[in-house]
Amino acid sequence: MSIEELFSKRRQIRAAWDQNKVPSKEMIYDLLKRTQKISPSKQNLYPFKIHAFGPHNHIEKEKVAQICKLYKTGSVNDWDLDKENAANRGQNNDYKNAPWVLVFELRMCKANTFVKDYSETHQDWGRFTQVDEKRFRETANVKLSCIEVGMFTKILAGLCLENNLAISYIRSFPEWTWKGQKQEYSKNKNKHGLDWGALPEITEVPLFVVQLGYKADIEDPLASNVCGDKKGGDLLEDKPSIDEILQFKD
Amino acid sequence: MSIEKIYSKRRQIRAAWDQEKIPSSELIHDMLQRTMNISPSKQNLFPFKIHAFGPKCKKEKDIIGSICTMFDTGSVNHWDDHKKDGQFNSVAGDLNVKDYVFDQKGNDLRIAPWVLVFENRLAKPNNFVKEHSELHNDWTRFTQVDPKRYRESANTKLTCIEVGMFIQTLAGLCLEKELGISYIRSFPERQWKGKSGVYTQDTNKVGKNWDELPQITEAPLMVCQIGYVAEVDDYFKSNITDPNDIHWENKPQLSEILNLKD
Repeated sequence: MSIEELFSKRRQIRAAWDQNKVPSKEMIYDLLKRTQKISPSKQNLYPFKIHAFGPHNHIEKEKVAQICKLYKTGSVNDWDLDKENAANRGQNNDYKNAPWVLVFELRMCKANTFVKDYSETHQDWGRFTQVDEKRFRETANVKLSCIEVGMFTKILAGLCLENNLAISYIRSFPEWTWKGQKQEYSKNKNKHGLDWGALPEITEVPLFVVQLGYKADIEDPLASNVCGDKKGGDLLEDKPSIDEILQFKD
Repeated sequence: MSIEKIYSKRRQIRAAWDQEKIPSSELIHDMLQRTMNISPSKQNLFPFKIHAFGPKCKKEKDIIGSICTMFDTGSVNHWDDHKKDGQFNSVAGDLNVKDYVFDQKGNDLRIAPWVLVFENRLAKPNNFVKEHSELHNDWTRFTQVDPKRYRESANTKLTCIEVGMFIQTLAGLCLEKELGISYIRSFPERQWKGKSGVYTQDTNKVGKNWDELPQITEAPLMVCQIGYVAEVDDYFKSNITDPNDIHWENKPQLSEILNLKD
């Protein structure tokens, strides 16, 4: 299957995660291992860490949901409005619960052979900010990490789609911003839900949340509409034209 | 071909861009259009802009080269060493860059035919954003379309993730067509200072920054190079498999970056 055919299959799943057919730990580990093998990273340092919460981690996944879905820019799937119905159905039958939830956070890297050799040869120990404990949280390095997380996730998506697994993305949650002068994170508060402090595993700035699982054989009532022909009235998420985002000079 | 096979083919090209066989404008435009068709973006807003400079844009590409490769974290391919007649120190001893970067006709193999600069962008609200905002009487939720907030750190992080996804899709399409694609994220930064409402910006070793390219008005996020790969040995290529190579960039173990709980 071509890249185009494969990636065209992806849909954002909001309330259609299969609760009976669940990807195994071995499968998810294998997919992540293969992703790391082929995804690029500047000097191969991978300045991020992945926390993967699986089918048995109900508590942690519930916390992630309360952190993300109740945040002011989140909750597209009205997670907070449907708690009672979800409880009546039993937690395991709520189609909004993904079997696997991955949280990507920033990480200080260890210097690899190239970084050590280069730094010694040029007597320059400030160049690779990814391995510098005083600088790895700086904005430039966070931007780099976000781009690499995006690249990593896209490869993971390709491998998932090849295995008929669905993958969804969440970037609505309380932000942490590094304040260099104070040497601490300033942390946004979540008015209705939880903050990242509820998950002690997360110690650095969270960058991205990804959900994985099989799609149930039902229509997702909260699916985005990206290809409807009606203009307006149907919550159509229409894309801009290529000319709006591209300035092209040959 | 499987995802694994396609993406395994990619190498970071540093001094091996084919100067004779050049991807056409139509090919690059078509690949960008197809990438956009299948790339994800939050609410499909695509909060970034791409400036694509092609084979005839020598001046612009030269400026980008001097902005990026002379930054204090750049220049792995020794772009700036012409000032020292090409001499540079390496783990392998004293070398001359001129011995490694020119083809038989004297063309510089470090110059990519196509250079793409991604920058932050104020997105226009689409149908969903307009209807949701009206329905909930909340016009602040989608920061990507808010002129006062789209440059904030949270939106820049979102944009960077989406640029990473877009580029990785583009890379797949390039690799299917036997095109090389390389990535640069060593350049002077523009950082938004919300309180004063201005970008602060770094300059590189020779005092240059993105002001040299007037097309770039927001925070540049990533630079990509695209072209065919010449049949030469790229001396400056990274090596991820051979511990004896001087450019061995060994990856961390997966356990170092993964905490997996089932």
